[in-house]
Amino acid sequence: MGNNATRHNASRPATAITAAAAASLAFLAALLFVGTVPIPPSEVLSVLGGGGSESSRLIVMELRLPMALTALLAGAGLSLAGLLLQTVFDNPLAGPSLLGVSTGASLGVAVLMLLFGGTAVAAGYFAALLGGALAGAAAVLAALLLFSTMVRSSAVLLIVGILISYLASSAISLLNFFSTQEGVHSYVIWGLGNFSGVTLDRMAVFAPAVIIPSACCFLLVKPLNALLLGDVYAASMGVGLRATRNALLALSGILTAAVTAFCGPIGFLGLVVPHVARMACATSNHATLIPATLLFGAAAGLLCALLSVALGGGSLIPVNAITPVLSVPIIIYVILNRDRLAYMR
Amino acid sequence: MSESTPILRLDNLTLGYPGRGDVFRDLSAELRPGELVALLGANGSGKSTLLKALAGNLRPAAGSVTVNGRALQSLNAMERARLVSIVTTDKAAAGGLTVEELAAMGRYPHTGRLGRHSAADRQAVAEALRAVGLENFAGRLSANLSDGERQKAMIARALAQDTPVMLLDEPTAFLDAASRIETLSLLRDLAASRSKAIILSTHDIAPALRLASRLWLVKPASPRAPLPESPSFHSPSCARRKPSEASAPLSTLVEGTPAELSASPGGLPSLFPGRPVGFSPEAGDFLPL
Repeated sequence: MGNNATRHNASRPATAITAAAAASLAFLAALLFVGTVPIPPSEVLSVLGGGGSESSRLIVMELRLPMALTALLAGAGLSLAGLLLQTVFDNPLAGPSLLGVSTGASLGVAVLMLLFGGTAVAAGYFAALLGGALAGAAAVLAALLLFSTMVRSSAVLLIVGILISYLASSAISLLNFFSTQEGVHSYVIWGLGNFSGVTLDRMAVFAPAVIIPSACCFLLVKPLNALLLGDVYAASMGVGLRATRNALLALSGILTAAVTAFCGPIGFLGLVVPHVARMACATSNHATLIPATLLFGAAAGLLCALLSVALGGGSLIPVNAITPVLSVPIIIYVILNRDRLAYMR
Repeated sequence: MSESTPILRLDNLTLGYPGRGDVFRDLSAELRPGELVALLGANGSGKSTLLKALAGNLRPAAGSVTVNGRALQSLNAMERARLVSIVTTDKAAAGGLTVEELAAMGRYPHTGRLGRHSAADRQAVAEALRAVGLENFAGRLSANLSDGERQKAMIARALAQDTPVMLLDEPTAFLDAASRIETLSLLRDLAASRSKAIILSTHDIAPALRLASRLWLVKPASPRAPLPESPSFHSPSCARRKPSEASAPLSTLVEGTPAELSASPGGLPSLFPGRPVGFSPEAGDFLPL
C-alpha cells in the first residue's frame, strides 16, 4: 500500500473553498443583471458605477441587491444549521427541514401571521415573526433533545422529527382553517419560499440574525470535532456534553428561525450543502467545514435565487420549487454511496 | 516498580444499577504506574460496569475511585479528561479525519477554547503517533485504515491525551491474531516506557497471561442471572442509593499476577464455573473439557 496513493490531499479544502467563493461572487453579480424587469447590462453597470436612471437605480440597489444578499445569507445560514444538526445528532440525514425545526418555526410564524393578520408590513412585524419562528424552532429542538435521550437510533430520531413536523403542519392547517382569506393568502405565499421579501431596512434585523450565530460557530470547532467520535469519547476528552449540545442546538435554532421568518420554510439546503462541503473538501474537520459550508451554502442560495429569476419569465418561481430539484439527486447520491464516502466511515 | 505509590485506587467501591442489585460490593484494589492489568471475565460478569466506574461514567453507590488522590466523582469532565483516557470498541464516525487530526483530538483537555496547538501539543501528537507506529500515516484519512491501524490511531489519541491512567475496553476485538498480540505488546511497552497505568478488558486469555503484569478476574460471586451485555462506558447512569442488604453482589474481583492466578484454584481455574471449559496452566489458556 503506497503511502502517497491514499494520502489526504492537503490543498483540496483551499481549492474547494476558493471555488465556492468564486461561484458565490459570480451568482451574486449575475443576480444584479437579471430580474423580473429587464434592464440592459450597460445600465446596470452605470448604476453600479454610481450613475444610471432613478428607476434603474431603485431596481438594482433596492430590489436586486437585497434579494441577492438575502439568498446568500439564507443559504449560508440554513446550511450551517444543517451541519450543526448533523454533527449533534450524529445523523447524516439531519437537517432543519427533515427534523421538523423549519416546520416548528413555520408554526410560530403561522400563529402570528394567521391569528394577528398578515397585512402589517412594519419592520416590527418582521421582528415579531422572527420571535415567533424562534419560539417554534426552540420548541421542536427541545422535543428532539428530549427524544434523543430516550432513543439511541438516529434513524428513529429522524422519524420522530418527521412526526413532529406533521403535528406542526396539522396545527398550521387548523390555523389556516380558522383564519381570514387574506391571512391564508399571505401565509401560503410566505410558505412557498421567497428571497425577495427582505427590504434594506429589514436587512438590519435579518443580517445580524444570521451573521452573529454563524460567527459563534467558529468558537465551537473544538467540541464539534470531538463529537464526531461519539458522546462517550467526547465526554472522556473533556467535552461538557449537555452545555455543548444546548449551545449547538440554540445556534442552529436561531439560524433556522431567522431564515424561516424572513424567507419562508426553505427545504433541503440545510440537509444537502454540508455533504457537498464534506465531499468537496474531503474532510470532516469543522475548522474547514464551517467556512466551506457557509460558502457552499451561500452559493447554493444564490443559485436558487438566480434560477427562480432566470426561469420565471417575468415573475419569480417559488424557491421551494427549485431546492428539491437541485438537492434530491445529491442526497440520493450520498445515500447510495455511503460506504464509499470516507467521511461516512 | 512495586515501591512506587499507587496512581489508581478503588476504595470499598460498591457498584450497581438502580433496581437491579449490586454488581460489586466493597471492592478495593490499586494500580501503580507502569502496570498493565488485563481484566478478564465472562460476558455479562461486570467488566464493563467496572470500566464505566473507572472512567467516571458510573457513580459508585458507595466508596470511591481516586486517580492521583482525586476522587473521580468530584471532578468535572475536563478535570477527569486529564486523568483518565479511554479506548472503546465503538466505531467512531471519524473517517473524514486524518490520523493526525484524530490523534490531535487527545490534546482536547490541554488546549484552550479554540483548540489551537502549541509546539508542545504538536510534539505530544507526533510522539503518540510514533509510539503506535503510525508516524508515516499522519496525513492519511482514517477511513482508509485497517481495523488494526484504526485501533492504533485511537490508542495514539489516548496517548496524546497524556493521562496517568488509560482504560481500554476490548481493544483487541475485531482484530486478527497478529494484530491482537501486536496491540497488547504495544500497550505493555507503553505502560513500561511511559509509566502509565493501563487496564484493558479482553477475552484473549493466552496473550493476556503473557503480556499483562497483573490480572483482575471478575468472577461470579453467586449463581445468578448475568447482566445484559452492553457496550462499556455508555450512558452515564446514576446509581446513588443504599447498597441493598438483601441480595448478594453479582461479582467479585480477584487480583494477582498471571503466575499466581494460574496456579491458585480460586484464580483462573474458577473463572467460568459450570461451563464446559477448563484452565490449562501448560497451555496458558482455557481448553474444552
